[in-house]
Amino acid sequence: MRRVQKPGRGPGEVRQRRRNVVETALLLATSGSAGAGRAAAGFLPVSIPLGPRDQRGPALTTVPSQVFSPDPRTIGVPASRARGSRGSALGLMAAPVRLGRKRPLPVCPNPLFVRWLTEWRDEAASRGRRTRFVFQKALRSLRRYPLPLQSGREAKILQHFGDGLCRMLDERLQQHLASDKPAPGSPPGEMRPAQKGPSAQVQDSSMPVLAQPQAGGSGGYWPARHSGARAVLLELYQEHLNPAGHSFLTKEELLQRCAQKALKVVPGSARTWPALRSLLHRNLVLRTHQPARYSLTPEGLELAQKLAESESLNLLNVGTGPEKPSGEESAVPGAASAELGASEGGDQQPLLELGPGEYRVLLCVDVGETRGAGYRQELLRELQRMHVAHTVRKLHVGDFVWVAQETRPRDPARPGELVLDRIVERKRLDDLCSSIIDGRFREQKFRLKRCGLGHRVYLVEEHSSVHNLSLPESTLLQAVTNTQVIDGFFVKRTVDIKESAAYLALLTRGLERLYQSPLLQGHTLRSRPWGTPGDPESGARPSPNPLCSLLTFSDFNTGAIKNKAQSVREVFARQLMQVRGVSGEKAAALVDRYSTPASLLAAYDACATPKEQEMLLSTIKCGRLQRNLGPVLSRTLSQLYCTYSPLT
Amino acid sequence: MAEAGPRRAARSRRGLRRPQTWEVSDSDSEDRSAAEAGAGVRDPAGQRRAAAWRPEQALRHLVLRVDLAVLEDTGADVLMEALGTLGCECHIEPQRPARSLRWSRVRHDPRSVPPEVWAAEEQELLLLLLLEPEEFLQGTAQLNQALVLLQLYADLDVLLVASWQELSQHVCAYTKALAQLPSKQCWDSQAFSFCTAGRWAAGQLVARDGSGLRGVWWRQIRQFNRVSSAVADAIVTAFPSPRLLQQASPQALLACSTEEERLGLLADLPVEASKGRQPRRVGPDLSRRICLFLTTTNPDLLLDLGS
Repeated sequence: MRRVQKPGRGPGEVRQRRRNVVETALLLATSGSAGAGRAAAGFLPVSIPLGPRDQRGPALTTVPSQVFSPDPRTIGVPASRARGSRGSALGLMAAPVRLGRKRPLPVCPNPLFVRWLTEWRDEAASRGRRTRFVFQKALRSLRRYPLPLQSGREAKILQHFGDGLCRMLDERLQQHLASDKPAPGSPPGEMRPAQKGPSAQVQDSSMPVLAQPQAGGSGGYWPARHSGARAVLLELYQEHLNPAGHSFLTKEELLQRCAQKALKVVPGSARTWPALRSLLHRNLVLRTHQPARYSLTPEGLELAQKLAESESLNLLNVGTGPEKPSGEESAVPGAASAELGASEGGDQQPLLELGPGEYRVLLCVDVGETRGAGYRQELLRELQRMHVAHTVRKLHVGDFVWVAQETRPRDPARPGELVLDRIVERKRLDDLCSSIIDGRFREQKFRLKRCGLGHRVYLVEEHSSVHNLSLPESTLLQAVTNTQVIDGFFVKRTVDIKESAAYLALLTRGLERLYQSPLLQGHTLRSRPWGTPGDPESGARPSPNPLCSLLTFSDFNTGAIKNKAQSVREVFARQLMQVRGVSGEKAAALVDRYSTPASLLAAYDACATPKEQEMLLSTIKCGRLQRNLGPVLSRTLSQLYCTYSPLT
Repeated sequence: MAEAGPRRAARSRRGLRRPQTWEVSDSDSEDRSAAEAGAGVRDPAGQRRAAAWRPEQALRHLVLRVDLAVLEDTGADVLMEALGTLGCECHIEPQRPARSLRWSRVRHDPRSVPPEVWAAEEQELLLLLLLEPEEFLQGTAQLNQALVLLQLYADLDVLLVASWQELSQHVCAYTKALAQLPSKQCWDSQAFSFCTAGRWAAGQLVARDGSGLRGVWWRQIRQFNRVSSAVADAIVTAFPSPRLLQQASPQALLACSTEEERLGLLADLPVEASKGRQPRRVGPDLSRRICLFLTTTNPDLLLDLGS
């Protein structure tokens, strides 16, 4: 009696039955029979369970952007004050509490010096210079001094003010006075909030120099011509003005556009960009969303407008184009973007293409997988013995992936690399136990589901040692089965390292053949940006073959770094979950209604009575079942967010 | 018909409560504790709806069809017995494909409604085929190659078992997993970029008088990247409630003339150093992040300067 294999369907979906598996089975059936040798007994049933395959992680969430500036001026806040250590740390005078009545605040006696020192400190900090500590110490010392100082030289009496620093202050003061402004000892009210001193963008930061006459404003921040900061501001401004544009730019877009205009802008390493970072720090540029979008704050917009005006002024005065590349320069932008592109293994290139025959398939082993001298050696030895092409790297998620690596790269040190759509997480049974017990298990699976790769494999090792573990066998079985059925992972069970290595070798070989097979003949592998191929954001392009549309290795690996930049919404949700009883679902519902702490606090402020505050959140609908948050949690949260005295 | 047998066995199962082994490994314990916290106390309709998603109820909507030929094998008694303990509807009858086990979900409770009705709205979840590889494969090497081929080209998972006992255990595990599928699937559709399970999410218990909230606030500070216990201590000591911290900003604002200074409010707070190390402070980066966090109205703002 011929036994027939047939493919089945994933949960919740009706998929087309695939006939080619039947052909494979028939092929195998004709090659004769003998014991497959797994068990001693003669009978050996083999079952082929099927799991859900299409459960990719949710695409990175995007939310319609609202460009607000952070506005710390909350109005109508009662004037009670915190007591104790905080006051003395900041050098502000503690005042008696007077409810409902604004008390006069201490006026800063040396606002200009404070401002300049702060600016110099931040400048040094953003460049990673140690001089930032010099400025910081001086600043702290200055803040404690209650009398106005008339010059830098006078400041010498304060601790941490040396000759050099005093000279800097005097020079700056001269420039400041030269633009006809009031003396340093005057109150800050007349100064515009967004002003900062001229930037030493191009020169060394320890000696700030006035780079050019300013178009307006007195002593405000003014990035020098041909500087990266100026280029960024102008590009963002252009995008802002463009009615067809988005009013934000991604980092790649910014890099590209700046590179076309100003070659000096090319950042040292594509990952950090000091000019951009400095603008973020000064609150001229805003960074939101994942993947990151850059846009102008109102202050940044104001400055960009002025820069643009001064650009056109220059145009009129000098009679040549502002930053337009000359004939010679315009030949160069291509090189510039290639320079940019070649920074991290060619991964910053907007598009990497690998045609058939132009790449090799490599197994990529996580360095962490090789911890413990014994294991590392054995695994790598096995792979070498079996002639498996592999490389050892630090992976930020998973234990094994495969890359398609360019065989003839332009820069031999940086071949283009695309990561294939499969990732393996290896777990020894004892590791599995401990990760279930301490809660890492679900977190790890979550990260694997979001890593951007569609096929997830759970490799469970040491299956013979089911006993002597901290959890019963049935529990482990259920955990692994859930991973298969609910999380949609492919599960492979092996007995020891050797068998795991053999499995990886077979997979590698199988992938090599798959990518050389008639299925993919003539297909070129192409890099794709983040977001799954069916992402609505990617526009109305025809959806590409998932086998050929791949993430670059760099994008994949950096995308998986833990502790990535946090959004306000995310942190707020996590904070809400710190109250027992507030689950992920409830936090989601709360954040949906009040998406920032400021919003929630303002809502509480708008309540007329404490009772209203207590009930504010009780009817928020949570989860698929739309259950009420309830009066108990609502009250607890109001206690947390409406108490003006120390919590207990 | 063989239907009466399993159904009877299934019904008798309701009396004894089988220890739910899946709870330890993968449970939504937070959902249960939330119910305990009284969230649903005055929401009976919601509670009933929630109960419908519980694994015990979801089992009622599962149907397992087993090919008669499977149970005709000697040694299949073990499986037969296991089927009786599952708690879902089991149908043993000739199947296509042969020697298969098929799990489906049905809209209506199959016990209360005739088979023709619920069969019409069946949704197949899982198909398990039983094979004997020695009939068409020669040796372990061929078997392993075949498994990889099936994985790469057909996305088929293969389970190797050595006995009917093992097979029965797996069948039970699949059944339980499928019972949990509906609740877990709706779970995953949340829009968070972080996992909502994990130790950090367990939450601090707060009493009716509010005691415990300081601990909550402390844990809230730790939700920012790169915040240690000592740093959280420093901040909570200086600002023992969120409102106190929020308030500090506008006050100091008027004394500070730049945005940076406003954001640097917390920077100089001293942090207790561990033995033998330099005395530290909270620092401008975290200060900036926290102050921005409390004052911004843009939920998508990214707090960290680096990536």
